[in-house]
Amino acid sequence: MKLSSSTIRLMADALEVSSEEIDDSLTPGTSEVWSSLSHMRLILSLEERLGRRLAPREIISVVSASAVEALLSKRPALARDAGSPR
Amino acid sequence: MIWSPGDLVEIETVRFLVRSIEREDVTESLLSWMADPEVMTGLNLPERRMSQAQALRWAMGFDNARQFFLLVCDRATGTPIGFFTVTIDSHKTAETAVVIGDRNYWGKNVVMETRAALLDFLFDTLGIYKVIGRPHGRNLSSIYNYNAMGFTCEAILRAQMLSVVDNDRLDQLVYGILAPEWVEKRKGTG
Repeated sequence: MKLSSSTIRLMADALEVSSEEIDDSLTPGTSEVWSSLSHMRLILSLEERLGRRLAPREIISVVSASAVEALLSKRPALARDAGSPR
Repeated sequence: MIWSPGDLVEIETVRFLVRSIEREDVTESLLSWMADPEVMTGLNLPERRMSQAQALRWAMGFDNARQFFLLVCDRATGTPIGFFTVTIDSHKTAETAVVIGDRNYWGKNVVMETRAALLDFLFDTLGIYKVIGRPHGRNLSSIYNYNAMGFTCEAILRAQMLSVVDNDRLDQLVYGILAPEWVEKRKGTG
């Protein structure tokens, strides 16, 4: 999957690496750069970009760059996926 | 590992030692974790300034048979940096929770390394069949750890609890991993 420049930039900032290091092979737990702390930064950055809190299912889905890309390009969470009211 | 109910637990990883708490471990640093709002937010519990006697009663209430209070210590220094609690039911299912109280160790994959060894102990030595954890929906580091370790999010309990931070409703996630799934994960095929 080809990643957009905004996805690459957002991930590079959150994981504190260069843009060249962002590709779809990165996954949580298998790379030192994608630690629990950088994961928190990534989720919070995504929420800031989208202007809303992510639903639990969306948070769980963030396991790759393409998952980040999908979240950035999708519409707001459906009510049935949204978990508790925000 | 040979272990009998009631025995103290001692599990080594590359960087850490996970071991049963003893009386002399109930120190000011352990009390300070409970009084740290940011630490306790992970469990959605209010910070609490426990007395030494209260903490001792609490910690010594774990029987090392069905309930465990396991300190996570830095192997290089022996210093406790956090703890796991484990509760085992009659169905060979264990529920775990973890606190890393020493902020210097946040973001250093302590939980992944130590929980992996704890899962080995629970599945291989104790014969547990399923391990679960129930983080709240805003405990992002905990969710990260469960996902990265191959747990399945089996349920999202909507608006299950009140947040200690802002009294808003919080979702709770139920994560689980079965013994055969952990075997596959260890082999790198799960």
